[in-house]
Amino acid sequence: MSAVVSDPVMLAERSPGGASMEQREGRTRRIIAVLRTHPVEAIGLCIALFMVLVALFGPLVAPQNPDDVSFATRMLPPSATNWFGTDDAGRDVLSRVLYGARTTLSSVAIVILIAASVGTLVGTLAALGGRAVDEFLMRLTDIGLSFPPLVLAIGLSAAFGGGLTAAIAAISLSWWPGYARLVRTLVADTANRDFVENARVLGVSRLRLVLRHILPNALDLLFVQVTLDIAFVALTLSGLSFIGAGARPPSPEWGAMISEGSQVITSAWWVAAFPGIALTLTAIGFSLVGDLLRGQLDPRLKTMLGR
Amino acid sequence: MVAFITKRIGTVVLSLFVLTIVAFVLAEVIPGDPARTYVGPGATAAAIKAAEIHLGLNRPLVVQYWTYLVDLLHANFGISVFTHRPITQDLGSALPPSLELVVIAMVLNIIVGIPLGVISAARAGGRLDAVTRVGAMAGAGIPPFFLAVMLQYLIAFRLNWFPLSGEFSTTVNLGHAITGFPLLDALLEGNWSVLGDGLDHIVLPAIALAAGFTGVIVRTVRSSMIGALGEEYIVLAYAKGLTERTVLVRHALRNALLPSLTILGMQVGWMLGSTILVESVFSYPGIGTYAVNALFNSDLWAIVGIVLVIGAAFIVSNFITDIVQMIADPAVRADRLGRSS
Repeated sequence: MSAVVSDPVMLAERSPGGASMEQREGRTRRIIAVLRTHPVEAIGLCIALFMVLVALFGPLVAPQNPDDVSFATRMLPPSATNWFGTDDAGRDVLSRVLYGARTTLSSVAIVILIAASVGTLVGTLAALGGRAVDEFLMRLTDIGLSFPPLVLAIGLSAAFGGGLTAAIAAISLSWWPGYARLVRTLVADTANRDFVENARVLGVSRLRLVLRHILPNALDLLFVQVTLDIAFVALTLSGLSFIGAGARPPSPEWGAMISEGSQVITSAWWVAAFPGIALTLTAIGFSLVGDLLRGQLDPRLKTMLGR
Repeated sequence: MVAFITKRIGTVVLSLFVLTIVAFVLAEVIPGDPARTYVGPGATAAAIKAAEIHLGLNRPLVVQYWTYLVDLLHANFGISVFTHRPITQDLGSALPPSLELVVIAMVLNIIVGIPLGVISAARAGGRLDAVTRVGAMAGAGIPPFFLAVMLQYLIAFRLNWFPLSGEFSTTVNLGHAITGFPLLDALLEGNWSVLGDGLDHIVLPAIALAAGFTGVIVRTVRSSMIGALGEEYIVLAYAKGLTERTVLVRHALRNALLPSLTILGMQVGWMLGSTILVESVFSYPGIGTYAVNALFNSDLWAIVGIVLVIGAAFIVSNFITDIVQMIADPAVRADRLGRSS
C-alpha cells in the first residue's frame, strides 16, 4: 500500500481495481528511488520491518522461556549466555524483550484496528449522512477529542479493573475521535471528485459508491495517519503498563518490564535498559516510516493530516 | 467573533459536563468494593454496611451523580479511601509542585526547541540540520518514563550531578508558604538556597517531561521556518543587506512562530497529563505520583479526581489556546468565523 501512497497523482485519481504488472514494477522502482534520497527514513523502515519480524518470529528464536524463574541466576549482567542479562527473578531479559515485541505490536494493531474502524464508520456517516447526523457525530467527536487520551485511558483502565485488555479497550475508546474527524474530511473531499460524480452518473448505487469508490480512495490516506499513530499508541500503551494500569508483571510487556527494571536500576541497569531501547527504536522506526509516507503526499493533504 | 467565542464556550461547558459524567461513571463501574477497602480487610458485614452508608454508596445512581456534581461545584471530590483525607486536600497539595514542574519543563521546551528549530531550518539539508532532526526524532520517540529512569540512573546515580529523587533535600528549611507553590515562595522570599535546591531536584524530571514535546516543537518551528524562508520578503530583506541573524529572527521567525505558539499552548494540558509517567520515578510529590499511588491502591475516588482535574485543565488550556490563536492570527480568524457562521 505504501507504493500507492508514494504517488500522489495515482493516489488521487486511482480507480478501483488491481494494478497491472508494469505499474507494479514502476512503483517498486519509485520506492527504491524515494528511499535512496531519504536515507534516515530508509533506516526507519528497516527498523520497523525488523520489529515486525521480531514480533512474528521472536518467540521462536528466544533462547529461553520468558517466564522461567531461576533464583540461582538473578540479575546477571549481559554475557555470552544471557546477551541482555537476567532480571531480579533470574529470567532471561533477551527472551522477554523478544516476547514483548509480540505483546506490544499486536496490542497496538488491535487498538488501531478498533479505533480506525469506529472512526471510519463515524466519519463516513458524518460526511455523507446529512446535516443533522454530521452535527451530532462531530459534536461527539469534539467532546472525545477534548479529553486527554492518557488520563482518560488511566481512568477507563482502572474502571475495567486494569490489565492489558483493559488498557487496549481504554486506548481504543480514546483514540477513535481523531480518525473520525480525519475520515470525515477525507470522505467529504473524495465524494466531490470527478470520478465519484462519473460513477454516480453511471448509476452506481449509493452503498457501492461509498464502499468501492469513495472509501478506497480516502483510506489510503488514513493508512498514513495510522502509520504515524503506531509509535504514539505503543508509547501510550507501554506508559499505562509502566504506571500499573496496563499489562502487569510478570507478563513480558516492555512498559511493565521497564517498571520492574526501575526498581533494581542501581544494581542491574540492563533490566530496564533493553526493553526501553526496543520500545524507543520501535517508536522512532514507525514515526520515520509515517513521515516518509506523509512527505510523499501532495501538500494540501499534508496540511490536512498535520494535526 | 463573538458568535465563535460563544459557540466555543458552549463546547467547553458541554465538555466539562460530559467530563463529570465520565468521571462519575468511571467511579461507579470500577470493580472492587470501596466500602470494603475503606474499613480494611477482615471487617464485619455490619462495618462494611456502615461504611457504605457513610460513603453514600447505597443510594440510586442518579441521586449519587447529582450529589457528586453538587459536591464538585463545592470543590468536594470525596474522601480518599487510602489516605482517609479529602481528595481536594490531597490534590491541593499535589497540584502546585506539578504545575511548577510543567512551567520549568515548558521553559526548557521553549528555550531549547525554538532555537534548534530555527538553526535547523537555516541550515536545512546540512549536517547540523540532520543531527537536529535525528535528535528531535529521538526526543519524540523515547518514552518519557524510560528517559526518566535512564536520567536518574546515569545523571543522578552514576555521575551524581543531580539528586536522585524528591522535591527538596530533607535538610532544607522551607520557610513560610505564601502562595503554596514552593519554588515561587522561595523566589518571593529571596531564599536562594531553597530555590537552588528545588531547581536541582526539578531539572531531571523536567527534562524527562519536556523531551518529547521539544521534539515536536523543533519539527514544527523547522517546517514553518522553511516555509517562511521561501517567501519573497526574505529575499528582499537579504537584498537590503540585513544580516542573516536579523532576517532569521525579525523576519522569518516572527511569521513562523504562530503555528508553534498554538502547539505550545496545547502542550500545556498534555504535559500535565504526562507528569503521571515521570513524577513517580523521581518520587516527586505531585499529581503524577499521587495518581500512580492511587492506581496502586485502587483508590477510585482519587483516580476520578485526577481525571477531573487534568481533564478540566486540558479542556480549558485548549480553549485559551484557540482564543489566543484566533486573536493573533487573522487567517485563522477569518477561517473560524467563516466556519462558525
